[in-house]
Amino acid sequence: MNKPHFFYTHKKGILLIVILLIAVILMSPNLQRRPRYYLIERPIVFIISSVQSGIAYTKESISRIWSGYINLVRVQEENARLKKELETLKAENSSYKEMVYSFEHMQALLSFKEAAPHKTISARIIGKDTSNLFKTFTIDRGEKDGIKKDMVAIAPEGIVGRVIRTSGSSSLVLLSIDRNSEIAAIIQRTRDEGIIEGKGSGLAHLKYIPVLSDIKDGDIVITSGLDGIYPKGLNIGKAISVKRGDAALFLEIDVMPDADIARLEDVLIIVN
Amino acid sequence: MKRALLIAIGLLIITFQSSLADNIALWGVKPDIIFIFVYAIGLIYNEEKAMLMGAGFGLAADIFSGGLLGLNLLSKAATGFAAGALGKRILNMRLRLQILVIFFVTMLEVMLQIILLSVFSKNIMFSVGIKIIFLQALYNSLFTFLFLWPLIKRLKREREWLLSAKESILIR
Repeated sequence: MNKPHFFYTHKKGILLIVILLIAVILMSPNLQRRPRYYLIERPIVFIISSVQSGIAYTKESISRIWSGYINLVRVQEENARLKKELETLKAENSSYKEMVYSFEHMQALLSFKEAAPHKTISARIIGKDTSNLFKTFTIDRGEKDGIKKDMVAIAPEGIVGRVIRTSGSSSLVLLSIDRNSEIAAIIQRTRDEGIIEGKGSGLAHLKYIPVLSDIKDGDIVITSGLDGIYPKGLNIGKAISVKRGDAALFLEIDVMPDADIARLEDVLIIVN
Repeated sequence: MKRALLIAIGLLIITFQSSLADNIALWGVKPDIIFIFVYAIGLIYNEEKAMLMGAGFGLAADIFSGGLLGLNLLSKAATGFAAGALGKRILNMRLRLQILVIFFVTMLEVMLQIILLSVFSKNIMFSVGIKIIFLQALYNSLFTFLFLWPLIKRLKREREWLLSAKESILIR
């Protein structure tokens, strides 16, 4: 008789303690690193991602009708074709440059092996992170399509991020600009190696480049492949600000990603 | 039935937050529609219900986020509690003061998230944190007010009616 009475008089406090306990348990590192959604999460993920797919499809259809009929159809198609051609040429140019540099550094054989075309599947972005503190998005491809944790997402311009969690028909991609993203990188011209870390804004930060490095604004940063996740030679972005501290060992470098992450609608996932 | 409807609306809002909120983002910061919903529940019901609903919707938002699991659960539960505790008291305040209250509740929510992140995950850059705190607080107070103004007005009317009814009964 006393127990229910105690519960009702201290209901608020008990509820607060229970919520706090659940939150602390959920924040444990093991749960944060889960590669797949748990069974208990899957119904919510399924419901929300299905609605997201519908919204993404509707949005796409509306914008297609709008831009297709209201704007000049032919000019737009021509622009899209030219843009695509330019992107392909840019990507080709970048990979040729990388080949030349690698050859000069006696890595031609390895470079040719790694420059082999990747097997990719396309995925539509159906949702973005609900919070302003994280940079992730949901794609409409999941385990059914062969998507696994740590597969890399790319756009024609360069790297986008990697898959961190999968469910049956959708997956979560951590963007290269998120604070939790780290990519082994190399400066294409100077061959200095470092790590690209997201800043949580639209930029990334290139760490561990020694002060003696000759890096300049505009230098291209590519993946080095040393992290075992991102294949070597993929475009990451360009250095836009290089600062030299007075007594620092390393340079402070900001990198602008080549892929226009805010406007992306589709990505390619490297599956091999 | 009412609870099921609230849950359905909440899930729909989470979907909208992840699908469409980016389209109205200013300088990369978007309004938190889930916050507005939890705040409204706090105003209509009590602390307990708002806290529970906040925790539930926060957890659902966490599942869809690549961030720290449990972060939104805790911060949205705190928002629900704060809104529930403020409850009807906010109705007596002036318009400007009401906006200010919403502004500060949002600020506290984002600050709590940033503190939890620095304890359980990685530190957030100071400049990025400040930008998010202020822009989100501004954006949220504006949006909360636009969405909740009709609700606040209705609650105020109901309250005045109840008070006058009570008075007339006492006089008789």
